[in-house]
Amino acid sequence: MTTTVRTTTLEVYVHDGAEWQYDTTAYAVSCSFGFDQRFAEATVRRTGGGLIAVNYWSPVEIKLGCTPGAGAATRFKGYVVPVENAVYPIDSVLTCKGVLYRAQWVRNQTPGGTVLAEPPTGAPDEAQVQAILTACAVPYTAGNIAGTGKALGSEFFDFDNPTVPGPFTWGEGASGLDYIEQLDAVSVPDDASGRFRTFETLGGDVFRIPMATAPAATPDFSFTEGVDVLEARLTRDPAGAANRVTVTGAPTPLGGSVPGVEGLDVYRFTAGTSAAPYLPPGLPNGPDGYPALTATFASPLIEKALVVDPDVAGDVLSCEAVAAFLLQEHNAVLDTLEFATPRDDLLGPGQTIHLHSPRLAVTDPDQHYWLQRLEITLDERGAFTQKLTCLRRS
Amino acid sequence: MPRATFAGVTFDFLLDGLQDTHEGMATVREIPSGPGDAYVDLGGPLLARRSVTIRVDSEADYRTLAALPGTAASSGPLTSAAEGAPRDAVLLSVARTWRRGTGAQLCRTEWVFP
Repeated sequence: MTTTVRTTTLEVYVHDGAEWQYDTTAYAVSCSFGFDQRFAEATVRRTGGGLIAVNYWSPVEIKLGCTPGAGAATRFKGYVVPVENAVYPIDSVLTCKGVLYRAQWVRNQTPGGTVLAEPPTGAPDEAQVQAILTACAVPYTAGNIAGTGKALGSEFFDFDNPTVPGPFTWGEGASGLDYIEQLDAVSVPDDASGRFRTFETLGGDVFRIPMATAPAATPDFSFTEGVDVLEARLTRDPAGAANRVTVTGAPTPLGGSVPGVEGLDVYRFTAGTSAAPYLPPGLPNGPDGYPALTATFASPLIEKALVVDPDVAGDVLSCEAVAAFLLQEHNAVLDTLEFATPRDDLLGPGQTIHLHSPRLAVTDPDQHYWLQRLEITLDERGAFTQKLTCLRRS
Repeated sequence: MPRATFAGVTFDFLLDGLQDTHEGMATVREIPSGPGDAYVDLGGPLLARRSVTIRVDSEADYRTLAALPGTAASSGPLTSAAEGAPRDAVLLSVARTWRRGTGAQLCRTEWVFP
């Protein structure tokens, strides 16, 4: 029997336009990060107010933690967005959003939109993302924004609509983050090992790295029922699973033919497998000779059908690679593990988590989970809790 | 019986029944289904509170004190021989039971020491 006694700390700093100010009125906070949300969010509960000049877009930094433990570590960096503030006589809430919120908030003001890639040279996806981040004044380090390196946009031409702006155009009035997310959705390298995703860390740094819903072989952190888990729940749901994925891309040249591709209108590739134990018995065979459930994905940003395509010379994204990646993601039952811990580790989305829980029948030492979402709270009495939502394909 | 003064009112401090309370923000969470491990999070101290019966000399003194809670005037120095040096205090509440006459009377009071 072990009792861990620790002191909890909360420090909220707001930049009032001149310098950082320590907010003495903050008494509780909740921060959330995850690949299921577009940007980080935080709420700061305060009593009183008026001591610090809090303005729209005031930078905010939240440090919290436990001693012994990580101490007052930075858990959120972003901006105060007070439009949703609710103020009652002695209590107020600051709603804060992460640095990527700027990209969601900023809409392109260029008449006719901004062409980010076009023939014959095109532009890599990482360069396009950096251009958007720059235009939206999102702070980033160029070395943290990676990508496929392919010459996106170098092959696109819509023969039916030659005067219409191509898909590699950040449309007038469109949100910067919308364009980034469209680009992220197709940024799959030829080996289909992952898909690039733009996200922000707890420290407010923006990264773009390839990811898949797959834990690593070695967990970053391990938790044990009865030792450091307050509550836990495991859900296994086959909804959304598919053992066949069809990806369609940009229009093909009018009248052209693409070997191995169904139809002539757009580039297309279908990946499938008969290995799908989650399928209910008795389903009839599909077009490939085995029972199949098909998921579809379409994006004009994909400019060829095959990774090695005899009809497209350019180094652009292929339907084949995207389909192969999506098949890995879809052809599985998704286990969703949610649990809360009082532990003060510096967790973050994308990490590999291990849980040992006999009550949930999770006892395999090699069975790990991918951390999708993290919520960190320090309540009004100073209790520190981290809530994890983890995924695993099985 | 020690006399005390607060907000210009002088009254008797009844030491009998006086209660000082010192609490802090501490959250105890026991980990379920284990050997009994627990986490105790210490969120900081709370203000010291005092509950004490006083005897005011008149109905006017009672009304003066009763008008204070929740106003800026409820915060100020409490001067008492029993306390030694004057001590900053906030009068949180004054309560009395119904009585027929006026004059000296007993009141239950709650204080917090910032």
